[in-house]
Amino acid sequence: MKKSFVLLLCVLVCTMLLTSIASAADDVKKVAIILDPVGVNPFLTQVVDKFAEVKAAGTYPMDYSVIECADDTAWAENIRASVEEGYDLILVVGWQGADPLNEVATQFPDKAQYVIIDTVCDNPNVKSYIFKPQEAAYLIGIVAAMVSADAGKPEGPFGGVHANPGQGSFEWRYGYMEGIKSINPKVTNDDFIFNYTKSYTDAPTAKELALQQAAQGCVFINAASAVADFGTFEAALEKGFYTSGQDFDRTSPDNPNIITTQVKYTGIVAGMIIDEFFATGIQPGVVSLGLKEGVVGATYITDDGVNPRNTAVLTDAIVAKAREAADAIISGKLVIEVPLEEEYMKQ
Amino acid sequence: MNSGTLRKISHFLAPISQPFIAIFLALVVGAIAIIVTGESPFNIYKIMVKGAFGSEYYLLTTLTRATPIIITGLGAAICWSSNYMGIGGEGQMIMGGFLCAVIGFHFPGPQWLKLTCAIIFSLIGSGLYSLFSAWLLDKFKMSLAISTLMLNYAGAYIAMHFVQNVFLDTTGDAKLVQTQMIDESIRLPRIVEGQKLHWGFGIAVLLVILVWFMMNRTVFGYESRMSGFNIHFCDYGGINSKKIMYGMLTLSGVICGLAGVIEVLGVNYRYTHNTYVSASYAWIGLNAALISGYNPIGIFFTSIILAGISTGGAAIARATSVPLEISTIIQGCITLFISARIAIQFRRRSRKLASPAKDGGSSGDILIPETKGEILR
Repeated sequence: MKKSFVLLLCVLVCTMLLTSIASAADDVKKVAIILDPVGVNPFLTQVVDKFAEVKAAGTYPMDYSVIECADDTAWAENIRASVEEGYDLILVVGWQGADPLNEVATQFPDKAQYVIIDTVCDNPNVKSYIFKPQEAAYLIGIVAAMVSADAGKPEGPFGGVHANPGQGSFEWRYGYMEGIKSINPKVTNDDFIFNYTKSYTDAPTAKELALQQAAQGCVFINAASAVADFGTFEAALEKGFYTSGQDFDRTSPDNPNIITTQVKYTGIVAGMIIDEFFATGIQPGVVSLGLKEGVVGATYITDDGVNPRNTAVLTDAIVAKAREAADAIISGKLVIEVPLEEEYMKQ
Repeated sequence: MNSGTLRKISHFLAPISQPFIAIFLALVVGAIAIIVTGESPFNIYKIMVKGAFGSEYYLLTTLTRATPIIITGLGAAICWSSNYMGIGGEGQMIMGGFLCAVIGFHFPGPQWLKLTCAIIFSLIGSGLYSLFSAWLLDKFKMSLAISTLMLNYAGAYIAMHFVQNVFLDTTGDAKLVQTQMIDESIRLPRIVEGQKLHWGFGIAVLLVILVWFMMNRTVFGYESRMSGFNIHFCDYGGINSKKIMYGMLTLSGVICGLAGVIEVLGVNYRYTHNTYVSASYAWIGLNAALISGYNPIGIFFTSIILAGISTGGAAIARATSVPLEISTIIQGCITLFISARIAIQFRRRSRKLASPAKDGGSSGDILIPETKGEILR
């Protein structure tokens, strides 16, 4: 009788132990991060690094998989497969994921929670985080206008080597152009030269385009083609024009011609998503993040730089003027709404 | 089982034996790459097979991806089997998809009329796009490989220009260069509810049968194959080789265009810039055609395997730390082994031609006949 009781007790304890282990395992939430091949693109590395940091800190019981999409079709396959494989949170980072995420979130509203970064997914089950890069680009425009004026070319031309043409990236150009025009209203749309790498990684093409713009007299060339910006930076060092980086502080002691950076802190957004997911669950809707939220900005203007500022070029007067504009944007006195490119360029 | 039956079975399996050998060798090389990453090849290939064919969902996803590969493979096989080495499948697919999306959304009238016109005009458009290469070859002796390759880029950027400046979907944030979605009523229905596989796969299966019939049971198919073996012999025998060339290249363009049409009607419901280029459907389709020696049945199975390597490769990346590039390495190796096979056959044939007396000059399994009229150069 006693033996039987001890045996029963052992079985009970073991069962409880196993159940607690199983339930502890069940509590670990699985997150799928679906994105382009990460490489060294800071827009993506910041997201991945944030997840690695949170997991290492052990703040939340979380496991995550970084799922890179080799081609455009893979977005749909990976998003759908993540539902099939039981992920609790599906985080899509990139425009290409909007359509497939919309379809999956409609079809399986309760199987996972869905978030997309950098575009709007028009679905009641999805939370979309978008940015206002035009606000930061406006500050870069002020810098470009004043640096060019100091170099004796107040009316340009003003350069820009960007990734893609079209409305999707017009917010970058629009903010930049408006920032310049706010300093010198005489500047017209004809005073701008924009070229496109059609790639986020093609640095040699970016360099060639930047060299051509420098040959046409640009004192400042706005670099906005992600990793391909390294080509523009190299051209700046060779030809002596000034430029700005993108996404993550790109200033460098080795290249004083990179005088600022239009930053976009996707890592902060990743942190917001993780916190919300574990606190209340994802609340669907659209969140637009700009200067006020500290998610976009410009190095030395809204943020401290990693390296010392090139004060000979990016003078105190320029920084003060740009900070004035940043304050106006943050307070809501200055609102930058992006129009349709076609209509704007006709002006 | 008598020897006749065995011969029939081996004859039937012949077209699919080559793909399996090439794929097996590629998997061996892939295994070496996996070992370098510190993982077990058996474990990784198990995940890969599961991710490609391991459940209803994975299998249907693979078949969905295989659909445009099968169709472009058939398009490539038609012109390559006649020894016209057109590599313009991508451009023709883009033309088909772009026209279908634009006409399917903007054409006035009821939805059935939109659908009919979208299919007809996009197939005509892609056929004409391919016909242009044939005309350049005929009139200016322009290399078909070069003209079709260049027209791939031209097609992509022509479509991009029109989408971006005329047909851009501005209902959202317009970040992607894409047209608006076609109406739900004209989309291809799904074969299995809740899964991606659509009736475009059924069309692909039907097309396999039709192309096999055309190549093996019609006068046009016979003449085109003969034209591929020796164009001078055909001209001497009264076959109009120019007509064959125009016909084959146009038909190839129509079939590749159909791949684009099906992707629009069954998968994306719109044309998005770079989708077909980044997925390399037409190139993988050409790969499938080369592996299977232009046999439509071989193309069908090879396409499914190649699609499975892609979907299975993504499963590896989801489940392990092995990079996504492993599947690209395997696909690259398959191409390499096929190229080696072609080179071996070319050398074998050269030797045979050099010493016809030894074997009576029989042609055997000819893949690269070198006696082609100057029209092909």
